[in-house]
Amino acid sequence: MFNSYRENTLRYYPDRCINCKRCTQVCPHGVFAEGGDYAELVRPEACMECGACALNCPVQAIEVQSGVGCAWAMISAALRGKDMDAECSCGGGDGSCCQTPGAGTPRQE
Amino acid sequence: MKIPRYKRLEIEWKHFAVGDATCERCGKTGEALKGAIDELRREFAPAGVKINLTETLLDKTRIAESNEIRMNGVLIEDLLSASVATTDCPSCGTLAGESTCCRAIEIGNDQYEDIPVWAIRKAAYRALGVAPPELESGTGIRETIRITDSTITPANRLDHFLARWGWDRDGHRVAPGLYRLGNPSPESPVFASANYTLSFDALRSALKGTDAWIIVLDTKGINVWCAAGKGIFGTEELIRSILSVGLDSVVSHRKIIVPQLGAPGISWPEVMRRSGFNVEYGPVHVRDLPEYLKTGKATVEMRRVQFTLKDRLVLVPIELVHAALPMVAVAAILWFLAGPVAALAAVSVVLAGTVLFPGLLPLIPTADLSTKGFILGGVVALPFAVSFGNNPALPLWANALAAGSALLLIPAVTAYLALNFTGSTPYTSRTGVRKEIFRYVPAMAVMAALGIVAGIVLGVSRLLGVI
Repeated sequence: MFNSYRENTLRYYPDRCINCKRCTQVCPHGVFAEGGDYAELVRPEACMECGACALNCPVQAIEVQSGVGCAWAMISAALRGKDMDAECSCGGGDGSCCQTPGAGTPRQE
Repeated sequence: MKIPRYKRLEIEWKHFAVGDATCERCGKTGEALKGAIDELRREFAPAGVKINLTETLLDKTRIAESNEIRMNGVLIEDLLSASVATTDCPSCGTLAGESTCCRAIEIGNDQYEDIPVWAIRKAAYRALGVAPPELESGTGIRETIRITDSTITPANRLDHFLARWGWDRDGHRVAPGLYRLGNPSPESPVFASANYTLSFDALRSALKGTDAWIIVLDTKGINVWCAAGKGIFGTEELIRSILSVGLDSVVSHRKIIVPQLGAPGISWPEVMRRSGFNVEYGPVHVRDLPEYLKTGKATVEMRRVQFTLKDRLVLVPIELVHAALPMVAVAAILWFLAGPVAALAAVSVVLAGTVLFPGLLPLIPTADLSTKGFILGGVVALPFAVSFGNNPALPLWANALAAGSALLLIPAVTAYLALNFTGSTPYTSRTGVRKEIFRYVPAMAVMAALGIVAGIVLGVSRLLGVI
């Protein structure tokens, strides 16, 4: 109850993994860990769907429908009759999350 | 900007191709052309200049003309006072099935097999009849290399303070391009950054005592993480930057250190394939860079993003600034309609949603941000409910309505503000946020509507003299 974050769109195909370890380097939530012969999916529920692992996997062993989890952008897209998944990306331009409460995050400093 | 003599720039580019495949040097020239044209279009759009690119694919018989560029009919080598050479092109050789020589151009003492962005830009300026900026007076070799240091000045601090408060939101930019930090050599490391002052300043100050190159991507004044999510701190911009600053002629190695939180926008295999540079992901926080440079490896801890009290509190000013105007308006209206305590309730709910909520985030029960907001809002609503519901001059039903209005409205609004904090956290997935929206927004809407109806009933009753 009251946890909407137990499931996500992350899919991992370890049989394709060539153990380059890039996924373990890019994930900020330790979802993947270094294993013996291939990367291990250790914290799937912590995935925030940023897409870094899939984009940096040279053999497409990881799939995720990446996007920015920003309610403000999704709600305003829905209100304007647009696709709430396609619309949201953080930053820049009018009406995106980075212009709105909180989004000019200081995370990357 | 100087006024161009011509309003049109027709660029014709011919190159050898077999099916979809083209050779390496033409491929690189194509990238550079597209990058340069995008830049030129932006620069000359205010002057009303239209830029058009025509690409002609040549077959094997016309390979001598391959990689020829004309601007308004004039060959690029003539515009650049360059000469043409032919060099062995193994990549074309593979495509053509025989040993092949291809065009290269020579500018000064340097030979270019593929045409770099700066050369295309310079030629375009000449073709339009404008003096090229920065290039004309300088060496003409590449974009100017800028100089920076690790000092954070009082002016920088003021800029950071204003950025935190949302003042001139898009104005906190540094010029994109290549920077020299300290006294770097061709062996010195290269770091990528965003052209947001907070990002760039954090990087250069963390690298105090290190001689390095910093390549600043044009992220439109947005930090690395947000820009990566949007894809503008991304593969294309990184490749464009590497090519346009001529990084391969600045450093002898082929490695570029990119912040880990930039990874959602970057595909390292693609960057490697198209620029020749290998991307290495540095740690999440620049404070770990000295250790990372020493050991050459980021530890598991350095790779994890946290959302500490400090991380959350620096977001408070901007949250407050954005909520301030509606808050003052609503508080003023409530003051006239329902008195000062109701106005105080409006102020309290905004402070709860924008200050208390980020501050207390991990301490409030449940995982969902909306339910955390309902809980916090409920606590904030209690004293107001007690105050509104204890008017001895009013009948019981009116007291109940007044208290109920506070208990419905305050948690609903707090929960909505809390839900919107998802965009600021570094851990909420889109799948989860979508689930939260569908689960809780209807409840928020119903509660807020009932609360407003209760308030209206009370107001009308008072007007009609019922209470």
